[in-house]
Amino acid sequence: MSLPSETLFLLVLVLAVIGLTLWHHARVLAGRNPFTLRPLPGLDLMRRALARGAETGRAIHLSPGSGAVGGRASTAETVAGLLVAERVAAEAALNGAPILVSSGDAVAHLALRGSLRQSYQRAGLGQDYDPVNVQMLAHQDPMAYASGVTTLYGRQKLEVSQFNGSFGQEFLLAGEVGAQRDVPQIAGATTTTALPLVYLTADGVLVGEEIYAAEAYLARTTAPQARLLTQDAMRTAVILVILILLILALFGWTLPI
Amino acid sequence: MSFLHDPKRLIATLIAGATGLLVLIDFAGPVGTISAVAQLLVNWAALVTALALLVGLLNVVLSHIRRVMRRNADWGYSVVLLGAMLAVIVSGTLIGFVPGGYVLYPTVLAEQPVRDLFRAFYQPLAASFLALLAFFGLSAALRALRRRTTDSLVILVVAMIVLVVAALPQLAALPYLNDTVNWMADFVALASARGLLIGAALGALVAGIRVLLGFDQPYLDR
Repeated sequence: MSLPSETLFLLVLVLAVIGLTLWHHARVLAGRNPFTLRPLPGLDLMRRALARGAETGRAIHLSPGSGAVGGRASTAETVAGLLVAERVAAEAALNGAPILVSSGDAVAHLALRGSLRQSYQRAGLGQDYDPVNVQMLAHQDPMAYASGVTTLYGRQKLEVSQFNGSFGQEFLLAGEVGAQRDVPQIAGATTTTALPLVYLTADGVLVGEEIYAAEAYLARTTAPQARLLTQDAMRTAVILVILILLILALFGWTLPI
Repeated sequence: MSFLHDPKRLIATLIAGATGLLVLIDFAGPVGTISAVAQLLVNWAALVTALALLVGLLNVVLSHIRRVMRRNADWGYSVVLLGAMLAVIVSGTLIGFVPGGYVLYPTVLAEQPVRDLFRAFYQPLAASFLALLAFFGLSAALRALRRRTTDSLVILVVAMIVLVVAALPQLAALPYLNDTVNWMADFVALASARGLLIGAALGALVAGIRVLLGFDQPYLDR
């Protein structure tokens, strides 16, 4: 059985990333080469809110966005949002801060229910988990989802609202209403459509790949930080490839594609 | 606890990893038996999505019924939502009124009762929300001017220049302006967008591999 060249290339790339991931995971667990994290001010805002939420009793709102799990364009971002929601829920369970989670997709909604239940159970507080706090506001309708979030803003005072996942222009609807109501907002997006709107309305901003790094920043253990090493290594490799190809292009050599 | 010592997590991880790998290989290129298995898995995923939609629907219904029974603030809107939901479900599955009569048991959602409902209610509402974005954008811009943060001011200044140049084609005749704006769009903005895309793609690749390997398990529910 011979594999097409594209399949072979993809398999080689996947194997390389698997190898990097396993190596970095082992490095982090062994405590070799400790590194310092670049500060992300948006996540500092979340940490302070987690501490305050326990005292004020105000809920922390989490949103993985209106993207679908299964859609090619939005699955990875939605999964990043699910992981961050799980981390924040674990911290909130330990601190005693209430959580309110909204989703814009049915599959993401199911995943959120499972993640949050897991987080509370791992914290030894399974009895504190309340499925009422996980709400599906819409299904694959970004504007309807954003208007649902504005409804949440109107119903109760929130400690902070975090949007980490797949967003588009509909973020302006929720973000602007939140800003008008003085709700501290942290938002992360990877699209050029959403990012300017995030900068204009949110107090904390996560740009591009930072939404994937957020989960590692919020984790109590060091193991999730292996993802940061892998991302950094791959980014360095891409930069080197671009520079090498640029230099070769300056000498008149082009890729035979 | 490591998932290697937890049989439930280990089985879930193996299933998720193997499934993801099969679909990934099929995505790269058709490979005989793997393609057939991958297609079967994708079909199952579509079924699971439909069931997830039912669960989500129940969540929405129960949430709003609870609000109505407790007479929470704005409970009237919950009544409207439940009524609208019932109307769409009934007209899409049981009976729907059309000019000159009615349709019993519509076979597809594209049939007239549901199509008329969407045209009469959903489309105007969706268009209204999109139109509202313009005013929300203006409000956000005014607040950004008051806050005077560097990022927001840069965004506003650039947006204003691009808007003015687009709205007044006569300005294209001014020396250097049009060429400058085009150069910024073709090089600076495009390069930044590509950098953003590459970074996000790398993050997504690492996230996907970590899910396949079981380091991250957003699919677990115990």
